[in-house]
Amino acid sequence: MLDLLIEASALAFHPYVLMYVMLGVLLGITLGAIPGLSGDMAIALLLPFVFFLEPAMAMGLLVGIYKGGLFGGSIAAISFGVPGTPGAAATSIDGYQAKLKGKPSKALHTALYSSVIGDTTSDLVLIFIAVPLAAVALTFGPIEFFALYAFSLILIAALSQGMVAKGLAVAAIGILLAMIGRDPITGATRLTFGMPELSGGLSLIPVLIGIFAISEVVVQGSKLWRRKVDKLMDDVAEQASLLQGYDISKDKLTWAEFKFTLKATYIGAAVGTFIGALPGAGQSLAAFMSYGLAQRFSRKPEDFGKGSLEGIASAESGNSATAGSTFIPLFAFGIPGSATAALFGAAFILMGMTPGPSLLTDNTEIIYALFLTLIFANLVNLMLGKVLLPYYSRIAMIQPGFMIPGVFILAIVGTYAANNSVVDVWVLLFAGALGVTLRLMSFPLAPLVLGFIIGPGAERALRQSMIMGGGDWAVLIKSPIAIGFYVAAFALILLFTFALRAKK
Amino acid sequence: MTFKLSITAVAVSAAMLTLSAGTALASNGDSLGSDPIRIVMPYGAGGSTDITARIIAANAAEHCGSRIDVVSMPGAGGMEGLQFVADAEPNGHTILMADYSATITQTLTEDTPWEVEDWVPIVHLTDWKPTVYVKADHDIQSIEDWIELAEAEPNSLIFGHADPLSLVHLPLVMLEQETGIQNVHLPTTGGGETRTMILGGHIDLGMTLPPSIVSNVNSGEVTAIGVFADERSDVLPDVPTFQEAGYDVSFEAPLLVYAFSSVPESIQQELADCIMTGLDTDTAQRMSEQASAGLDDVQGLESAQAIYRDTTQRVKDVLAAINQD
Repeated sequence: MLDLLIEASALAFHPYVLMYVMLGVLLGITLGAIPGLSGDMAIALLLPFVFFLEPAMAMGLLVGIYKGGLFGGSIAAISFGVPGTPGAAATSIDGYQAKLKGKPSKALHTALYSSVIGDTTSDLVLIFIAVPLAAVALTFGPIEFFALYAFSLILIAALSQGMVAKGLAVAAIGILLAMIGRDPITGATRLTFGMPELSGGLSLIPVLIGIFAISEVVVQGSKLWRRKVDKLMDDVAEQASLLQGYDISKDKLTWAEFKFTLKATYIGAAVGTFIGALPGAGQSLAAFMSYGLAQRFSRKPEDFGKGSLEGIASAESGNSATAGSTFIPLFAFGIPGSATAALFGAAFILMGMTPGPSLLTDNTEIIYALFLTLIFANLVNLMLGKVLLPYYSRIAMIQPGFMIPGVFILAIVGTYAANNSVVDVWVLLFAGALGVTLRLMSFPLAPLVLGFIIGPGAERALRQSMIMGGGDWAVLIKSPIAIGFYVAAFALILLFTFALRAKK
Repeated sequence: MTFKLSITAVAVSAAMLTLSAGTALASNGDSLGSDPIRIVMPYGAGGSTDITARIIAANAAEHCGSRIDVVSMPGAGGMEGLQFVADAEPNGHTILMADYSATITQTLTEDTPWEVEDWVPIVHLTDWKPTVYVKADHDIQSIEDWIELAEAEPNSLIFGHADPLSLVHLPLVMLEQETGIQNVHLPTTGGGETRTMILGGHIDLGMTLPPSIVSNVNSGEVTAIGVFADERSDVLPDVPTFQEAGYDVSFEAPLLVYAFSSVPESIQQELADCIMTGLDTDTAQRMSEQASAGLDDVQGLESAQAIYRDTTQRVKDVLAAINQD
């Protein structure tokens, strides 16, 4: 164990790796602070280039971006009331109010500290739980896996922003897209419409980049087209007037205030870690649930919604605490629990590592190095965040006119480079068009991508089970583990439905 | 907006196509010349084929007179890579490295714009030996145990293999034809999933290539019971072949370097010679040993073509037998 730790440290604390972590955090905070851009998108765009880096460096870069992005989202949320990422939506409730009351620095620092505490808690849980869980994973055969996939798919769809029907619908579209290509059991081509280019199925990277990045860019671009820069400029003027007469020395977060927010931070850390480990639940749900719970247990619940630092701490710690635990299903079973985990899963595959129970045993050193990097990145996040907070709040004003063409070009070049495939570029554009359509009809996008990723596994597991059971459907409930998953899925849906109702 | 974007996309992809075509253009009559050579590999990067290709690139470059690049094109189940080589200028600067699944099995079973004979094998790199294995505490611990049990209770044993008709599935079909036994065929995502299912006791038997189970065999977790090859595997020297057990089934999978048939024969020969010379060096052999690439008996054009014809016939036979069922 000690030897392993030393070897992993040598990998994780290599100067280049440290440099990539810092670069990643810097990028992540920067992108997270710009409304509409997120760490996920940056990771998707950088995926193809991961291949050209050493695994430890690539991990450092991606982890840095992810963590920086989680915190960066709160900067725009607090400074402008516009959540930079979906996870920061809850942060903006109290964060923007606090800023309007002349406490932006207190609010931002509370967000930074709670984010780092929540994240670190979650990482520790990952480190100590993923390993034993991976050992259990061997008892999972096709029957159990199908139950787990079904459990994940139902939860993913049902929990997406409270839109159960829309969530299920896009998850189904994702599964349908994943069925293009080869039948996993017979090897025959299907749904290719006679195009041999489609016989290998749609590649993950163009679908991911298309759905997330291209659609975002198109939507942002058309918004820009419509309102030009006028409105943005008005906003800037408004911001400037608000900050006149602001004295930063009176806006320092005191130790007493920090201590007062700790309870809310711990609540967020616990809730976020738990929700993060569930496949598909996501950051925004974690943030809102933490916020609700923290309010219930607060000594000053009446301040919530009016600039409460506790409110900021619970929301921010809640969304950041999904960061580590979201990897648990990926490491233990090879099932990505969130879009971010799916992106990391793709990165693992590009680096020649297969997510799943054998990931840990086959790549022990690099995974332990990743664990160390996860913790280390939190420190970098804290440090960089602290030093750069005053500057970052201005980043939110970068003109989308510069960002959009850059992102678009990166998406196309990156996609082509990943597989040297022109077909993939077309898939990217179609996925982008699909993403735009779904956004315009306000469908959630995450269930689609998760359906696309989980779909083939679920189909394979189902059909393998049927082959093993000689075609009898009853084989699916022959395993106690499988029954457990079906019951748990049902119970969790009930629980969340009522919890969300109660909040409204 | 969308309209504008798609124009940009077309322009960018067109620019890329021109770029890639440009590098393949210049050719000097019927000899190889000094432009870079591309080895197209219809698989994902990082696998064992990739490593082999990189050993060739590192060692054969100086003998072939130019830089060698390895290009991974796993798109469309590998078909995109084959298409790319088939479409390239026939000057020998774009060659293919693959096992027989892509060039023979898929060409025979699918509607492809080329025939099996359009792929001319020029170097025979190594042979992979499909190996059957079980969990160490399973009732079956030898080829004889398996056949006996399968004969007593047909279709009671579940056999995990990778993709249907892949190189770790066809030998099973052949053995069943030879012996008349019947197993439940369970396709998996590949060697990794098969191994997990075997270790978890979910399935009875599995087939894979030796390097992926050597460590599990040595640690006593699984038992390799038989190899579908003429000779035992170097890395699993204690495991008998099916021929030793009295079943005349051998189906080694050759890893070959191919040129497309439109490449002039003199260039094919030139390529074969320079790759063979490059792989015959000490550095190449050391690299091969380190990576378990098995490049210690690399054969040239004639041997490659003989084994290709042989394998094609074998695949045809198995496919015909499957279609009869």
